[in-house]
Amino acid sequence: MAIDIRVNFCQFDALGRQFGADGVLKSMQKYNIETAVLLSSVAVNCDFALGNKELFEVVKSDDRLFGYLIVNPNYPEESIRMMRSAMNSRKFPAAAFFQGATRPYPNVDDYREILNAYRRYTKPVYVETTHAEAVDAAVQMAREFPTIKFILGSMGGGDWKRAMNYNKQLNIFLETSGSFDVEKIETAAASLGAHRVLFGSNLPYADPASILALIQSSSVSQDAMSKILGENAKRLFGLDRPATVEGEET
Amino acid sequence: MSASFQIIDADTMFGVHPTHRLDMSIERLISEMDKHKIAAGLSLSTIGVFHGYIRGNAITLEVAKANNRLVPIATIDPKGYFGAASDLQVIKAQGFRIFKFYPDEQEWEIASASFGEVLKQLAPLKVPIMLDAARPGEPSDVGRMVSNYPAPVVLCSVSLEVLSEALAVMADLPNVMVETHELHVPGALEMITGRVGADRIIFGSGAPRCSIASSLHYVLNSELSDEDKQRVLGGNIRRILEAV
Repeated sequence: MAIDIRVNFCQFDALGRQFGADGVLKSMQKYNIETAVLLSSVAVNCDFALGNKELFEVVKSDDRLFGYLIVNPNYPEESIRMMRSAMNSRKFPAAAFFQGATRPYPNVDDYREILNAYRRYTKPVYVETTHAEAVDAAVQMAREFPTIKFILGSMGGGDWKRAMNYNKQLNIFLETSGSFDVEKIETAAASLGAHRVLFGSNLPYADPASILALIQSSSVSQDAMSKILGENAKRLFGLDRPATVEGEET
Repeated sequence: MSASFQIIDADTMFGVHPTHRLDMSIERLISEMDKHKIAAGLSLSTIGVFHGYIRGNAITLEVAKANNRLVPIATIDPKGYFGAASDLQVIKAQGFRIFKFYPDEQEWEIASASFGEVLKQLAPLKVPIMLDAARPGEPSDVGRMVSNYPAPVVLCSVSLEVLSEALAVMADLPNVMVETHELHVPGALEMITGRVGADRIIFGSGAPRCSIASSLHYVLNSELSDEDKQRVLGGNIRRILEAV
């Protein structure tokens, strides 16, 4: 059983076919994935309020699904307001940053106000990092906000080795989607520790088969593999905590 | 899972990579092939891609002669090519049955006249060619350049970003095929098969830099029939090479 922490929720998949929650669940079943943390593509690409709202409707009724709250640095007040209503819900175990306001990738200048407000939730932040500059910018956020845990989404893409430079920055974690370089998993586990690497597939833009094979064919120990495939996510996102009567509204 | 298929990896490379520190030795490549039960690999030396094709082709040939599971790929950088058709004939006669081109690494345009000249000289030899078409616009450029090419043309490094473009080219030109190492989109193999047939898909991994496991499991976990999987995993490239 595994936990996929990078699943894109969208009405249609990359090939224009119906996807939605059914598509997510079908893929989870095929690859024996127990839990998925979804992010709304509409929220990432266009309307973060609409996307987050739609996503909450999807995740609230299914125990296997959780969501990221997408915030937008061009709308800091609205983002902070949305955080207040959503981040107390266990169905939103993290916020996610995808774009910048002044630069095309998340950075501390654009997100400072949001991060200041976010500190109270003691939940991690997923930051999309598809290239080296984005990794550097994410680490800068991690340095300025050491009490927040930052997950480097896509692990820097083809520039994944850049993240290894920051292995001493203890509040950064790596999510595995992005590239299929043969030594990526071993190197990340050796450099940061397997407890800081988390399985993510980027479904439906990438087939979980590919990244699962990369992880399972790596030379990391069985214990490390269990951590990467699910234990780390369970702990980091608090997914092992029982559901309570917390505010479940967005 | 892969034991029942006869697998040929059409996209491997060996040697020192100038920008990625990694063991890409021939021993490592063979070991990776063994690990994943790859029967044969099409391969070439990094020297031919990043330094010079004449020296690189010589190394590729020598290595392939010493390793009978490796099928040598010849390469040419059109930017530095001033030869005649007879020179290409010599390369083919040395034992190369397929040529591969790297426009991105070598920074030349697929639509360039120099590449057109290489194609013109290769055409009478009827050798299959492979070339990277990873960036938007490149599959279309390939389509325009090879519209009269008399042998198979394999588009390599095709990802989701250029998949629709590659498919449009394949729909127009029956000799154009696609290689899989950058394809990880769920359902892409099934869609290509539905549109143009599984005999137009060639398995490649990009090993040893990229993971054979990832590329292989992408094909094995697809919804293709076992017959189509066998075509993709080795049958198609075998057919192409045997026709040369």
